[in-house]
Amino acid sequence: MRYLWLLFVIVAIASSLFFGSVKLDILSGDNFDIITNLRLPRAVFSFLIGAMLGLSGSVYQLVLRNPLADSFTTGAASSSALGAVFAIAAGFSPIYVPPFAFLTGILGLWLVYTLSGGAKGAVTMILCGVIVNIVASSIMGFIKFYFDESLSSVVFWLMGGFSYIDYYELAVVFFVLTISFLYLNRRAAVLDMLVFDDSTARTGGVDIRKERAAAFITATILVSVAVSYSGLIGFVGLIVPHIARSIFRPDMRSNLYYSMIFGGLLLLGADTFARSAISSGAELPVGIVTAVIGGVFFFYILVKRRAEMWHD
Amino acid sequence: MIKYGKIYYKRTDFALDINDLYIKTHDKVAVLGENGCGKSTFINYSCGLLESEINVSYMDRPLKSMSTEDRAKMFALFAQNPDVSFPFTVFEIVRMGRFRMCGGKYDRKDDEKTIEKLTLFDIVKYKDKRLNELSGGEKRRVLLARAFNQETPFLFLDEPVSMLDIRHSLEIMNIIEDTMKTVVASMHDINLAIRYFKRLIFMKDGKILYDISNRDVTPKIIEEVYNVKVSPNSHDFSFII
Repeated sequence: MRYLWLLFVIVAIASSLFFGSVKLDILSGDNFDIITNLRLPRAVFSFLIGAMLGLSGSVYQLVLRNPLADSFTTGAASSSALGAVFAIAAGFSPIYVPPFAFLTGILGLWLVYTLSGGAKGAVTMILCGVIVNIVASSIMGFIKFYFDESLSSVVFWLMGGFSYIDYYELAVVFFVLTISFLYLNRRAAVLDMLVFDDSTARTGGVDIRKERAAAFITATILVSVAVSYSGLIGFVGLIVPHIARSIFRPDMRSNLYYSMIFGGLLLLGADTFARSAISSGAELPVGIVTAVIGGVFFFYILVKRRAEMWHD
Repeated sequence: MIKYGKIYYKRTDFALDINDLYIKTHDKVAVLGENGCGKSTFINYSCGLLESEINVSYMDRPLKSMSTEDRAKMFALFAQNPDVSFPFTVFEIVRMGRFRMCGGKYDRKDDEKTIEKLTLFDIVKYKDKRLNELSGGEKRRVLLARAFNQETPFLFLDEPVSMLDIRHSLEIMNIIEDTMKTVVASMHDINLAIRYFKRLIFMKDGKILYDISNRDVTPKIIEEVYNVKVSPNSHDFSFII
C-alpha cells in the first residue's frame, strides 16, 4: 500500500511536467533542457517542500494535541521567515539562511508553547501563534524598510514560490526530509503515547519532555528549511494530517507517512495550477493558492469541530 | 510498600502537608475528603508528577532515583480527567497500557492480555469503536482498563467510579477488591469506600485528619471531615450485585 502511493507520486510528478506557463511538446528533443532543468526539478521540489510541511503539521498536531496546529498557527513558520529575511537582507551567504531560520523558528515556537501553558489550551495556542505572526511580520517589515536595497528579492520570496531551483537545493531538501522522516518513523510508537494527557503519558512510561522537545526540533528543522527555500506557504501542514487521519488509521506510523505523501501531492498540485493558471506566461505565487484552499479548510475545522476546540 | 517521608508541597493557597505515611503491599486504601482537600495532589505527588522534591519510595527505592521506565513498571495511574486527543480505537488505547513492556512493538501476547482486560471491564463490545464515540462513563472504563493493563504492582486511581452508573461502579469496586495490586484510590462515595476499602485516609486542607480502618468510621468523623450532619440509620438504598 505504501509503495503504491510512492508509485502514484512518481506518476503525479511526471504528469505535472506537461503543464507550465508555456505549452510545450515535452517529447520533442528541443525542449529537453526546459524539462530537465526547469520543470522536473521544480515539480520534485514542490513535492518535497509539501511533504516537509505535511510531515511537520502531523508532528505539531500530535505534540500540541491540537487539530488546528501547523507551522503557521504555531508561529513557527513566520518566526522562521523572520530569521531567513534577516539573513537575506543582511547579505549572508544562502547557506546560512536555513540555520538562521531554524533559530528564530524554534524561538517563536518556544514562545508560543510557553505562553499558552504547554499543550493545554487549543484556542490559547492559536491566539499566541497569531500574536507571534503579527510581531514577526512587523519586524520583517522593519527589516525590509531598513535594508531597502534587497527589498524586491525579499518581497518575492515572502509570497512563497519555487522559481529557480538547482539540484543542490533539491539535494539539501531531500536529505533533510529523508533524515527527519526516518527519525520520526522510528519514534512513531512512542509518539503515539503523546495522545494521552500528560499525567497518563508520563506514568505510562514516556519521558514527555524529551520526546516533545525532540519532535518539536525535528518539525521545526523541516519548517525552517522549507521556509528558507520557498518562503511562506501556508496551511499545507494544517490540512493534510486531517485528510490522512480520515482515510487511514490515526496512529503516527500511518499519519506521518500519509501526511508527508499528501502534503507533497497537495503542493505539487497547487504549484502546477499556479504556473499554468494564467495563460499569458506569468505565474501565481503558490503561497496564494494554498492560503485560499487552507483558509476555507481552517473554517471548516473550526466550525465542525468547535466542541472539541473549546473543551479545555 | 510505599513509604512517604516528610512532605510539604505548597501552592498559592494550599499546602500538602504529610508526615511519615506507609502503605503496605496489597493494601487497598481510599483517600477521602471534600473538594480541594488535596486528594488529587496527594496522588499526583505519589506519582512524581509535581514539580517538587519527591520524598516517596517504592519497595525501598526512592522515586526520584527511578527512571521514567522504572516508574512505569512500578505504578500506573488513572488520572482524574484522562484524555485522548485523536480517534484511536478502544482496543488500541487499552493496549497502549502495555507500552512500558515493549516500547510500542505490541505482539500477540499484548493483544491477548488486552482482550482479557477489555472483557474484565465489560468493554469488549466497544473494542473497535473510536473513543470519542463512547459516553463519559464508558470512556472512563476504557482508561481504567488501560491502567490495569500496565500490570504494575501499585495502582493509583483518581476517582475511579465518578460518572459511572451503579452497576459498573460496583463491578469496578469488585475488580479493585479482587486484584493483587496495591491500590490507592480517591473516592467521593463514602458508603462504597467503607464497603470496599480496608483502610481509609480522610484529608482536610492538605493534611491527613484520620487514617483508620473501615470498621472504625463513625458519623462523628464524617461530620468533621465534610462539615455535614450524618444520620447513621438513614433510609438509603444499598446496592449489591
